[in-house]
Amino acid sequence: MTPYTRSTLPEAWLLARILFAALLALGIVVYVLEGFFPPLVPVPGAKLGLSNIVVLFAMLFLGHGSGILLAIARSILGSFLAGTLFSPGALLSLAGGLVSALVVAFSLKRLRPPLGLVGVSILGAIAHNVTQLVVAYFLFVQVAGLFYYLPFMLILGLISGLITGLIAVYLFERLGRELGLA
Amino acid sequence: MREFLRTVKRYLTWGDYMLIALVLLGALATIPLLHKNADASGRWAIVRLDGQIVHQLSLAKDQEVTVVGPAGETVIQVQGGRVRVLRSPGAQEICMRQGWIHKPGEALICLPNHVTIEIPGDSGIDAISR
Repeated sequence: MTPYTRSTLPEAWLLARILFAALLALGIVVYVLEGFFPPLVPVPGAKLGLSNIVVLFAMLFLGHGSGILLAIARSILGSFLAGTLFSPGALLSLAGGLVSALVVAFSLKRLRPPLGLVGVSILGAIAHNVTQLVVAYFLFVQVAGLFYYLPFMLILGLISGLITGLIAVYLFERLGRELGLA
Repeated sequence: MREFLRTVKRYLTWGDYMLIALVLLGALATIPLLHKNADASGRWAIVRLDGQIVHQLSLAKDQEVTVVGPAGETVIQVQGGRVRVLRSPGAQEICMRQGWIHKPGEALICLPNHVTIEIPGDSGIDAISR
């Protein structure tokens, strides 16, 4: 689906902006709520990344640019609301979210097919985790030991990407039908 | 449950399966690297007498060395990648009671005999942020 522009269809453009705002609000809420839960596994930065479902949705229905913008805004506003803005964790989350969104946009464009939405979601989750490691290494602790986390990060990315991907496919089928978008 | 699995199967493409297999392989491939690096950073024990290095012991090799200090003989044993003090003069036997050490940053100190044994390197963790 091509993104709406102001010139082609004013009403559709307005609708797309409203949908973007609603999605952003939803993404922030999910992001903040998820942060309330204790980590499922004792690895720093390990999260399910449920708000990435919202980013994926925006990519599919509003265009890749909107999805990337939503990922950035979600991280900044989300950590602002959670009270962690300017903390190392927030910076890691922003970098991870941005790179993840770029990877998702790329794989939606070039790697689908053969990949499905679940595969794209897995790639996004892994990109998110690996980016956090790399940024943490360069900005905070220059300890090579940080990369011992790599296998964990790959497996965790696989699991969280699989779960969020499956939820996303299920959700989009239903939503697409209800909204008449797909 | 079967219904759930059927739905999951319908959602996955062959490319997804390939990717999952690839990631699992990648994770498996990086796990040995993890062990190798962890061992390499703590492979040596440095033995000092009055601050001067008298031995550098490889933790990979089982061995015993004896250091003669002002109070007598300190016998140091390396076995299975760990170090301990087997015998050392001194009333309190503190360094012997410390037992085995193997992690970077750990040390054994036999004060009466002026002998220290240290595994160089830092513990690998400076901080954990959430």
